[in-house]
Amino acid sequence: MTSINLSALSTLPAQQKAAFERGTFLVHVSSKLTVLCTGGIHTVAQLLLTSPQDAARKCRISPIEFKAAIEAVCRGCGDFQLQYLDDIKSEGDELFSTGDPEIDLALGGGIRTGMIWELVGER
Amino acid sequence: MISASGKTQLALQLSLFVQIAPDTGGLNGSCCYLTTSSKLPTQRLLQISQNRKALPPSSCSLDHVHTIAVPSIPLLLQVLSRTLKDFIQDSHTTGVKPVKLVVIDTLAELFHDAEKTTTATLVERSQKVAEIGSILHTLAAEYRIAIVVLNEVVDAFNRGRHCSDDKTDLSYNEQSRWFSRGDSVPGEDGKEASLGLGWANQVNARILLSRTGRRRYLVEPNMNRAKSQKIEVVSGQMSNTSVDLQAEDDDQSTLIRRFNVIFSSVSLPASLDFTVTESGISALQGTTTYPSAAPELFTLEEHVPEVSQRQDKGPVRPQGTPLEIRDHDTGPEELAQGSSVSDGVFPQDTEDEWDQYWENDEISSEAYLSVRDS
Repeated sequence: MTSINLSALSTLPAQQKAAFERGTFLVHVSSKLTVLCTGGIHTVAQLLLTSPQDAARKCRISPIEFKAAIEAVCRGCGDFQLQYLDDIKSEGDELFSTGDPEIDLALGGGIRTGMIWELVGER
Repeated sequence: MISASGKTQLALQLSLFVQIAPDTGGLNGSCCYLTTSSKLPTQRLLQISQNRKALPPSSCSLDHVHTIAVPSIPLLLQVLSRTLKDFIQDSHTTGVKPVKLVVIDTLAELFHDAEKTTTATLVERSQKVAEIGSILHTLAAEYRIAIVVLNEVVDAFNRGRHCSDDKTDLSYNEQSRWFSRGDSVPGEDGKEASLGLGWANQVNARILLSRTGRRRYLVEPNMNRAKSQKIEVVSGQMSNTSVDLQAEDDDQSTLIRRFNVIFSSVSLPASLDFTVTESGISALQGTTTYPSAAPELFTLEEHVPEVSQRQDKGPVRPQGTPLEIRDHDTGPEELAQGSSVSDGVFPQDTEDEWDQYWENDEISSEAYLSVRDS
């Protein structure tokens, strides 16, 4: 959800678009879209993670206007289904054997991906 | 056999096992092996793959171990953030075997410089270490690969405890005792991982490999002298290791090494004995021990006020005498191993004699401590 492009929000299906409270969205995001893009804000994540002060400086809009844009997007995105942690497929669960069952056991099953493992020892 | 502690051996073994099929324990992946000062020991890699039954030539070959030299920190950063990233991306989209393992052998090597250690150089080191760590984490998470970084040990100095003036701050020594040192066998805590706590915070799991003074006679049919000497020639490593290899060969016993998971985000601390042979690394069956870290932490907390009151009397170890710690942590297992290795050289009642000796001992434990700490 957070990687959704802001420009894609305005081309959502009509049903979802209705949930965006069209008026607010159009005023605060669509018209500001080009402004936000020039400030380097293209995705919902970037919009939410940039502090209003920073954004105001980058995009040359007032912090109040920026906050309004955030609110509009949040309301629009609020329509998406909430995901439970159980539903999310566990990532980084891949693991491979070291070649020895006893060492695998001590490591919690083997060498797991997505992690930094350190081997320390004398030269 | 070749390296002193076996860390390169384990890394080589991993770069082969990552290639095998998922139903046999692998990931059907390939490996990128980054070397800082040495070259990839291809012959040794070949030897492990030939001597290991679990590594079929059909699914595991040197073609899937890619290597590049990164002799400096800027080069490492460049390779990690550009070259390697592109390579991994390509391997995930087009390649037969996607990259699933990246090895850096050895990171500490890049931080060996002649410059005198000052606060400024330490700060610079921390910054670089954090930068490397962050790139590695991004790679690991984004492409779901395992990163294995090899590190070296430095001597650990056991200064008196609580030597820091600032009582609210934990001293480096106090922290590194938990995160950089092993304590599964006596003498293991004499060395600690290098690169400091900044690096310790970057890794998800730290495994300490060390030599022990113990040896074992292994029954292995293909363990003949000619082959062992071949490795020695091929490796062309430092002279002291070749000497050691010779010694190992002469009395036909194999040095036992210690594998110690100091911390890990996916498993409990554990340690075990292992040996390095022609077929790579194998654990000695039934030697795994799990230290009971929890009670020790509890006693530390419990005794903290007492320690601060008694500070004027010199350093105090809240857990009691070092001997008690040894007993508590590794005593029974260690003794059991000792007797099995030495084939009954020590009779069963040795343990009781020692107990008696220490009971009759006139010198207080504080006296031992003061000698140890001075």
